[in-house]
Amino acid sequence: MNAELELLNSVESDLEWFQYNYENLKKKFCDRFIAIKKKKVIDVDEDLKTLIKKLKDKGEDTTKVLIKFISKIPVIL
Amino acid sequence: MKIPLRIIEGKIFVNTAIMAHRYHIGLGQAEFIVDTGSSETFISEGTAVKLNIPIGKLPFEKHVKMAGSTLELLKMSDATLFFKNDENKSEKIELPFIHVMQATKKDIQSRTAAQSYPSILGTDFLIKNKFSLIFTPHKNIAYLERE
Repeated sequence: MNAELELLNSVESDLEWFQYNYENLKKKFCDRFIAIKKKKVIDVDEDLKTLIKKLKDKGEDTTKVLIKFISKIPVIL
Repeated sequence: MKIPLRIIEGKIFVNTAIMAHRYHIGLGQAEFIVDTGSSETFISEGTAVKLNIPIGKLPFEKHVKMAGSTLELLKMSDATLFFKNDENKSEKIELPFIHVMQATKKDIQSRTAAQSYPSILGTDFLIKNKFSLIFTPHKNIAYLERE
C-alpha cells in the first residue's frame, strides 16, 4: 500500500471513531483541541500551538495526527 | 470515480492527504468541509499550524469575509491532494496553488477563533476538477463523483 493511502486509511478510522464518539467527546473536551490517534485521545489543550508542542515533545508527527476542535457553541458555518 | 464523504453534525467532510514540496511539506493529513456555499477552497490556519506550513513566507493574495470576520488568504503554490476513492485507491490531484487562511486580527482571541475554523473545499475546486457533489443526507449518502 502506498504512503498516502496508508495515511488516509489510518485517519479515516480515527475520523470514524470521532464521529461515533462525538457526543461523549463534546461533554468531556468542550472548547478544546483534541488529538486523536489509533482511536484514542492522545492529548488535549485549549491552545492549538500548545497542543502541537506537547505532541512534538512526545515524539508525535503532528502532520499525521487527527486534530479536532470541540466547540461548546454549535458551529453552523 | 467516486470519493466517499463523511457526514458529521450535518456537515460534509472529506479526508485528504496533502503535500507541498516547494515548502518542504511532506505527506500530512487534512480534512476539509465540502461547502457549496463557499466559492473558495482554503486550508485553515489550524491545519496550516498542524502541517508546519510556513504561513509567514506565503504571499498575501486577498481579504475575504467569513462568518462576519475578515480573513486573509495567502497563496501556497504547487500543492498535491490525495483522496481515497470507493475502490480503496488513492486519487491524486495536482493544484497550481491552494489558499491558506489566517486571521487579520492578531490578538489571541481572534487567532484562537481562526485556528478552530475548518478547512474548506469550495465550488472552485469542484468546478476546476469537474466533480459533482451527491448529497442525500436523510440516507447518510455523500460522495464526490467525476466522470
